Amino acid sequence: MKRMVGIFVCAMFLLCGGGFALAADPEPIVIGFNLEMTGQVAAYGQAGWEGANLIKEIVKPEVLGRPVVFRLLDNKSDRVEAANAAARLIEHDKAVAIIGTTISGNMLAAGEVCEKNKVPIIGPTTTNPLTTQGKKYVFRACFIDPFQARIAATYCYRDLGAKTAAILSDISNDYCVALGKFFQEQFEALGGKVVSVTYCKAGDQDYSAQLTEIKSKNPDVIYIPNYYTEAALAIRQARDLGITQPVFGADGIATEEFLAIGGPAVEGVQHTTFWHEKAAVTEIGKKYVELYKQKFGQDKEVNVFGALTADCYLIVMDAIRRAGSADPTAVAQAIEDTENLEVVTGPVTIENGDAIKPVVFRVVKNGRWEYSSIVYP
Amino acid sequence: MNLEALIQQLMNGLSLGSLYALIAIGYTMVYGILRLINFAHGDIFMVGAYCAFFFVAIFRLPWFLSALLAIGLTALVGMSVERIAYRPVRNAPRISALITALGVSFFIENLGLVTVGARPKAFARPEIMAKVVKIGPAAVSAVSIWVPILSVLLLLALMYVIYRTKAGMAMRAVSTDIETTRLMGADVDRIIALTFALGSALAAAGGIMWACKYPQINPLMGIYPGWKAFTAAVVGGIGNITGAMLGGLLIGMVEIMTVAFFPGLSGYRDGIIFTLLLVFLLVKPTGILGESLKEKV
Amino acid sequence: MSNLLTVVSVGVLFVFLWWANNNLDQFALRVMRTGAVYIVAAVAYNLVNGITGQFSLGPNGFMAIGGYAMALLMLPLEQKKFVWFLEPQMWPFNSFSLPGELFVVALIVGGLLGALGALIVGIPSFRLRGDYLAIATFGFGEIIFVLANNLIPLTNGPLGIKGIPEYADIYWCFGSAVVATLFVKNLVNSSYGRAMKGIREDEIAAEAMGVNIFRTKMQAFLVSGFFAAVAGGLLGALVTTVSPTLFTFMMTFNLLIIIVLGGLGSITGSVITAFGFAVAMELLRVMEAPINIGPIHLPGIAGMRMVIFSVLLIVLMIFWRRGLFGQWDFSWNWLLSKIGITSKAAEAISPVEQNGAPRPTATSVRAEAQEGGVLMSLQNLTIRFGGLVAVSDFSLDIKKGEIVGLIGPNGAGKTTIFNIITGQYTPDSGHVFFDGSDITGWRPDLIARAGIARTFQNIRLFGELSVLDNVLVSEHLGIKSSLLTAALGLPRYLSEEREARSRAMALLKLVGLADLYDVQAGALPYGQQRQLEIARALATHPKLLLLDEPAAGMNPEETKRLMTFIRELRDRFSLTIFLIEHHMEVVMGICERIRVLDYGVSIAEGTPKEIQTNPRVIAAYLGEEEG
Repeated sequence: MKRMVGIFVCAMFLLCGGGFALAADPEPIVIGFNLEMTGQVAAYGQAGWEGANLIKEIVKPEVLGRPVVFRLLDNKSDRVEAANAAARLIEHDKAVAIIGTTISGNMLAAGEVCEKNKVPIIGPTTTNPLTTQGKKYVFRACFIDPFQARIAATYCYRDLGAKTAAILSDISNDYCVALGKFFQEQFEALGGKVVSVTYCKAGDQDYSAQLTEIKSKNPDVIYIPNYYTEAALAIRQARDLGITQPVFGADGIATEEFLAIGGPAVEGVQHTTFWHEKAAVTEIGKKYVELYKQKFGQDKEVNVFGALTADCYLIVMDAIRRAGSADPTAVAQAIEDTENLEVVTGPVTIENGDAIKPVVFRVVKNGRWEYSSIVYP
Repeated sequence: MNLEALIQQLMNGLSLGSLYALIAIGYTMVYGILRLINFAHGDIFMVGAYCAFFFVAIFRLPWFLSALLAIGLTALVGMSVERIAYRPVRNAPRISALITALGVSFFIENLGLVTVGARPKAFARPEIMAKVVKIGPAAVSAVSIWVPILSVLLLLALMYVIYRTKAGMAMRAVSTDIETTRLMGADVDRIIALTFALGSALAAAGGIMWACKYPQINPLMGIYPGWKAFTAAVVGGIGNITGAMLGGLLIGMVEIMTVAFFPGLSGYRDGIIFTLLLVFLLVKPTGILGESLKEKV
Repeated sequence: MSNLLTVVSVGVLFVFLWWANNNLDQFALRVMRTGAVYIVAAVAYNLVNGITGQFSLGPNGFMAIGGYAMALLMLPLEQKKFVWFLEPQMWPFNSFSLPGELFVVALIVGGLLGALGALIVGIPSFRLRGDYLAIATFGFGEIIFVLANNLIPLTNGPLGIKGIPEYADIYWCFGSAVVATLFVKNLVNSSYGRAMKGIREDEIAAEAMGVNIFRTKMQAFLVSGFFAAVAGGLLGALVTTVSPTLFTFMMTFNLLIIIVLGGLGSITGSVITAFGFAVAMELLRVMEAPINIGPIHLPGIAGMRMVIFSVLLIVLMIFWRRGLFGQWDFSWNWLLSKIGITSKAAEAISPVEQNGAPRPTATSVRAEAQEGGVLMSLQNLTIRFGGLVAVSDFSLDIKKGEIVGLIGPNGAGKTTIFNIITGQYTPDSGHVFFDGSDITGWRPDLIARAGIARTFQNIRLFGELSVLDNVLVSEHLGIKSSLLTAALGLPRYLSEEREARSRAMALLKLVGLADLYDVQAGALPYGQQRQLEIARALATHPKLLLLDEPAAGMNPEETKRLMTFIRELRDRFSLTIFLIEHHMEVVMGICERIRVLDYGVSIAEGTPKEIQTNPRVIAAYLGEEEG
């Protein structure tokens, strides 16, 4: 009996294999979202989706006289699923453009599918240089790792007057490794000396050995380009070990959890990031901040992932308008031609699929992120 | 490396190692009795830390009371896991029991993710743990000193229970021969439950100390400490409590000293631990202190 | 017949795939390809976990090996220059890349490296009994992950490798799935597969029947590592990118769900659930996504999927251990008999009488010639458990063709002596000489090969296997064809298999179980289980047969028959028999010589008559104080 049930189930799957078509309305223009709603980095995808829905209230989803609808697929923070989701958005939902994924690894898989089908995909926070490299249909709304790290290194050397630096990066994250390498390259090019390079691994909780090693080298500045949990823990343990040197981070620590876990230990930590609400130089950026605070509370920090996903939406809408059609190839060309477009995080220009935009410096003061300066490319 | 760094690294290794030792004991006790790898043990460790967190943060109880309550509660959780999931498969093929254990482990982790969220929470530690103390030229945080001291005290207490009390004697009997012990009229179920309770309580204590040392907790925090502690139990000689302690210290020290002496290899840290395991299985499969287990034919 | 049907249905499958490739959209094809890759991985995984019963957590590590090997070989050169931008790629991979036609070479190279990885983990893990494989394979997965992250010149570290041409089209994916499934299924049904199942059912019994535990586990593990790595290579060429995070522990967990749900030990189950899993993952996508209803934001049941999966795993293990298919596997014979084309009887094997009895080989002829010589000599055996001396200074010579009995009160150490003879225990001192060699400390399977077979006091049959398969496990020691020959079903192996089967059937006929050949051994009544154990022992072609309480639990009628049977056996197979028994009727009736053991010490020896009147024996049996 159970055997028969098994065979029946199998037959069902085979039947389904052929046609899971979901009817799609031909009239509206579909923008697909391929986001990490569940799984390891669910927080990013969820924040992104929040931003997309927020910006929809400011810039109405309508272009070329046709309504724009969002179609969201969860890629579960998994790249097989990310590729499948992209294929499904293209095949079944006839998406004109896809927004997402938030992490680079998934984009490597999803980008290939989009490139093959000639449908543009734009990642809000996919900083790995490889994602857009050699691709005509893959874009990003953020700056790339080398750029961010070089600006940080220049700042440490020139503005902080650091002559020696130590780097502690997360070997299991493409993003962290790349930042560490480019920081070292630039810092040494400027004449500084990187006295210690050590690694940790995502999920590590004990950093005492690496930090003791750093302490013994007594660098002028410590660069920790890791995600918020790892970075906050490392900094706390560094202060426990009596390490008092300034710590510099990257955009991965731009969360409230960093402040919560770090507590007083992270006071004075600086980092580079995409934006700060005080640096909202564009009209639309100010509106976005206003609406965000109205929705989620005045003292809530505006989430970067949300803001950059909103940017993706604005870039795609603008491209469709300029292309004058909902043909994905034309839209892709129009995205590539984006120049000085005013989006939430500032003016943006797209070049070879990468966004050229300013870097914002922030510092932790009294347990909050404070704006310190902005550097234009 | 200068003297200061060396002292500091030794302290780092000692405190990390004693935490592994505390967790490893739970693995080794359960393995000794049921020949079961309790994959969920690392997650029990996490539950301990969360219990303490909630007692402090939500019920606003004093820290030490919270820690004690958390240890008790976690012991109950460990016993329930045994009762609900492991007892029904005790006589099933061994692989079923192992799969169940892995299932329980994933269940606890993911239930944690769903209920308390993936985002890590900051763990409040008492002032006495937070101070920075000078040992010779080295600055060491107080928690790194407290952890080994408390661990040793807990281990002594455990040794007392196992070798000086009636319940401990029964546990040793069960681990030698479960069937004979049953025939002698001992309540085997109760003894196994007690084993789980003791192991879980130690894991909870480890979890709380861990959270004091690395003051952040998240639902997945038990995975790696769990696997490494199990490695420690194997390296020390599975089934042997003293072996588990030695294994824990060894693993902790190797981890820290790898980075201390070869900073360039810091990225290989976990890989080196597991390579050590494979080497041990190859060269000294019974571990530092273990004897090969004679299977009844 | 079966082979023809297999060829036809594979043909039909590929016609369907051709149709699908031209008619279905890309998304559906992607899902199907993913399903096919899962099939390869799941079938490979089930071979270790389900068939051999060893708990491996390693597939993700092996898949990573295969994925990287494929990527390094297939990635076009210009793409390689792009990708390694942090550090230059190492030689020789930076100087060549294989053309698309050689994709299969890349898969095979990956597979072989996967098998090599399996060898590296297997050697330390399989040397001891116990569950070291789980931790060792997990550790191996971690080591691979760490290496993939750190060896940037080789693997490009966490940035991964992208731009792999999408070679894994529907034909490659399904072709690999078909090859993996047929290979593993053939292997499982072969003598090698039965040895693996024997280990799963009862490692000690399998070893006592001459199965080399280490080698057999290793064989399963190597094949599994090979196919897992092939699956990894396919996966890489399907998603066009490879990076450390593609092969995390989650992959292993998903595969575990698949094989448990499908039925540990059922290849059919793995195939169906693996494919179903890929499809279901897409179908269930809708349910987990977050929903916005006006201002209300339902964040979906993020992570709930994993909670449900893990509960499913626990519940399956506690309440429905067999999964969808248990250990059942599809076979054409099953289908044909279901639809009434052939009757079940048609597949029965007719025993061939003259083949049935072990052929009088050179050695047995010699044995007969030397009738009366000493076959086994036990010299001063002593063994201690902890402080307890279980056997003390035990010596005994057994001559060829004798039937010798060993008696003594419970706990006297009788079975321990058997365990020493057959190598389950190594004595602390003393020696076992058998047929001219000192076999003290030999592994049990080597002792079985040397010609000693045994039954167990507390019956140790392979409960889930059929009666015939139980006997065939013992025949494994005589199989000369290699594993590959067997799994590929080459004629050389098939004729060996046919012979083994007819010999086994003849033995079953001898013990009166021929009609029950396809019944599960565990389902037999007690008396027949004992009979089956004897048949299984005989199938190892022994010179010496050790019977541990053969008459236990038998009624007087059965006991009488057993006595005749044992004598018959001795004469027919020119055996020497050493038996432990409590039924005095049996011992006195058939033994030519009896040894009495008490508290590990020999207290008497003699003919049945002498023993019956020996005061020390009587004292020991009545529990009187001595002296």
